[in-house]
Formats: sequence, C-alpha cells, structure tokens
Amino acid sequence: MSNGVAVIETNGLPEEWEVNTSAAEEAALLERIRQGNTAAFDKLVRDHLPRVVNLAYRLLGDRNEAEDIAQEAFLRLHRSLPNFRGECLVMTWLYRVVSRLVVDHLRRERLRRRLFFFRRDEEDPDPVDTFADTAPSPRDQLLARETEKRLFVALGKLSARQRAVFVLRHQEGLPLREIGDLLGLREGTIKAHLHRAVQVLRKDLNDWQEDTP
Amino acid sequence: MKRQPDCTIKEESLLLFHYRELAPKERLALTEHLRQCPACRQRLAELKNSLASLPRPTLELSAAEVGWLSARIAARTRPAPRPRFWLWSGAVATAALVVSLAAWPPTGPDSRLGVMGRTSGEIGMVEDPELLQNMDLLQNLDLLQELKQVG
Ligand SMILES: [Zn+2]
Repeated sequence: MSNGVAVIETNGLPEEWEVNTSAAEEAALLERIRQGNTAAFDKLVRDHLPRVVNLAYRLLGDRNEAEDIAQEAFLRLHRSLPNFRGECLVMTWLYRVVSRLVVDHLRRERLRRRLFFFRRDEEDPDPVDTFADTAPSPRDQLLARETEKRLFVALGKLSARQRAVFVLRHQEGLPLREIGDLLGLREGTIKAHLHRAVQVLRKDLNDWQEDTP
Repeated sequence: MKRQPDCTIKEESLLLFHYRELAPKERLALTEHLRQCPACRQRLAELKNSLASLPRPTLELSAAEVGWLSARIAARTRPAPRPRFWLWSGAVATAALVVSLAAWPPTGPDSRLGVMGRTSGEIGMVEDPELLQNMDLLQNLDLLQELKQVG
C-alpha cells in the first residue's frame, strides 16, 4: 500500500462491479486524464458513477446524500490522479473512499442528532416516512419498497461501522479481510461488527413481520 | 429441536460459516458438528432464511441523471471561480480586522503582521478538504456546507 491507495484483490469485487474495461485500457485512460484530457475523465466518471451512487445509497439509505458522497469521491479521485498508480483498479479505490466518507458522514449526523435530540423528538414523524420513494413503483413493487425502507430504518440503529461492515459483506459481497483493509479495522473487530449488525437487523425485521398483518 | 448435550456452538460461528469466513479447520469441525446436531442445523437454516429475506436496495440512474451528475463533477474539477476568491479574501480581511481590533493597542507593526499571517493561514487550512473531512465539530460541518454552496 502506498500513497493512501488501497490494494485489494480484484477477485474480491462482485462481478457486476467489474467495469467493462481491462486494466490496460484503464491505465491508458488514466494517462490521458493526466495529460489534461477532460473527455477522458468524463468517461471514467460515467463508467463508474451508477455503481458508486448505488454503493453510497446502500450504505446511507438516502439518494441525495448518496449523490453528494459520489461527487465528493470523484473529486478526490481527480485530485489523487497524479499519484494514482496501477496497483489497484479505480473501482477498488472508489470503494475505499466512499466507505470512509460514509462512515465519517454517519458519525457526524449521529452527533448532530444527539445534540438536537429534543427538537427531533417533538418534530419527527415515523422515520420510515422520511425516506422518499425513489421512483413511482407499480403496485406489486410496493411491498418491496416498504421492506427496503424498513431495512434502512433498521440499519439506522447500527453504529456507522457496523452498518458499513454489514453492507459491504452482505450486499456487496466483499470478504471480511478486505473490508478490514478498506476501513482500517482488525478482522476480529470486523467479525464482531458483522455479528452485532445481523442480530439487530434480524430482531428488527422479525418484529416488523410479526406486526404486519 | 434437540441440541447435542456438548453443543457449544456460538451464533457468530454459524454466521461466519454462512458467509464462508471460517478458517478451513474450523469450517471442517463445524460441518462435522452440523451433521450430528439438528438444533444447529435449524439455527443455521433460520439464519440463512432471514438473511435471504433482506432486500438489496438498488437505484436505477437514467442516462440523463448520469449526464447531469457527471457534468456537475466535471464543473467542480475546474479551477475555483472568482467569486469564491473574493468571498474568502473578504473573510480574511474581516477576521483580521476583528482580531487586530481585539489585540489593540498594538505592541508594534510586527505583531499586527503576525496576526494577519496566522488568520490567513488558518483559513487556508480550512480550505483543505482532507482536513475538513476529519473535523467532527458541528461548526465545521456548517462551514463545509457553506464551502459547498460557494464552490
Ligand atoms: Zn449444535
């Protein structure tokens, strides 16, 4: 590892995350960007944007925040390009930056909420209502949407790290060892976070299913 | 469901078994145990069931949304526009004025220069996004939002 760039085995990435460019093509694209080719950077962004926004969305549960985090990640990538070496894929680098940005963001949000909890208690409706529907859904998708919202509410009961570990392992399919590298945590800590996260989610979603007619 | 009398399998082991995160030796031992312990087989089945029932939220980004977002990113990679500079230099000037008034009476021309130098240095630091990322105080969060609007 050097220059703060994550080195992660690429076979740890879920298949759908593999961009349809080879490592050689990516290196050529990066070289064009370094030479000041703005169209090349635009291509890089467009290739990775949907995946990056989705990763941030799964970690955060909020589309607008996910888009903000994605933008910030690409700006950091742009700034880091002079030092970017062929040690890892751009996507791997983005995984790392997005995960860390999200953990920082969630922690700041938690602090903010703790400081203003009086006002929130008075004003806040059911937290499920605060998740906007992402798109008009057909009737048969309503239940799926509802389950998704419940998942985000349950995820909100976890610490930022527990949440990140769960999403990266369960939804993104990253091995725990790589999640440890990504978040700078020891494997034992990662395992404990995953276990706690699954306990909370199972309990929460079981309670909800029992309450739903 | 009857549990083996000597069953000491923890839930975390079953979870790690499910995610294929146990070391080969432990995995083998647990596989052997599962063969003999119906209670653990049941526990594992329930765990798998509830994990499988969790959704995987996915956003569909239209071509227009990808275009809009990437255009925004491209715009933000260009050098900062002038208004941002004027705002910051205004902030430096105001801060310097406030600080130097507070430090009145001055002990000499050098001391005032020192205040100026320090103030602009601090503002320069705050502009560094890496530092912003690491600051947890709420006031900095608000500053971050201001920066975002300006930039
Ligand atoms: Zn057992």
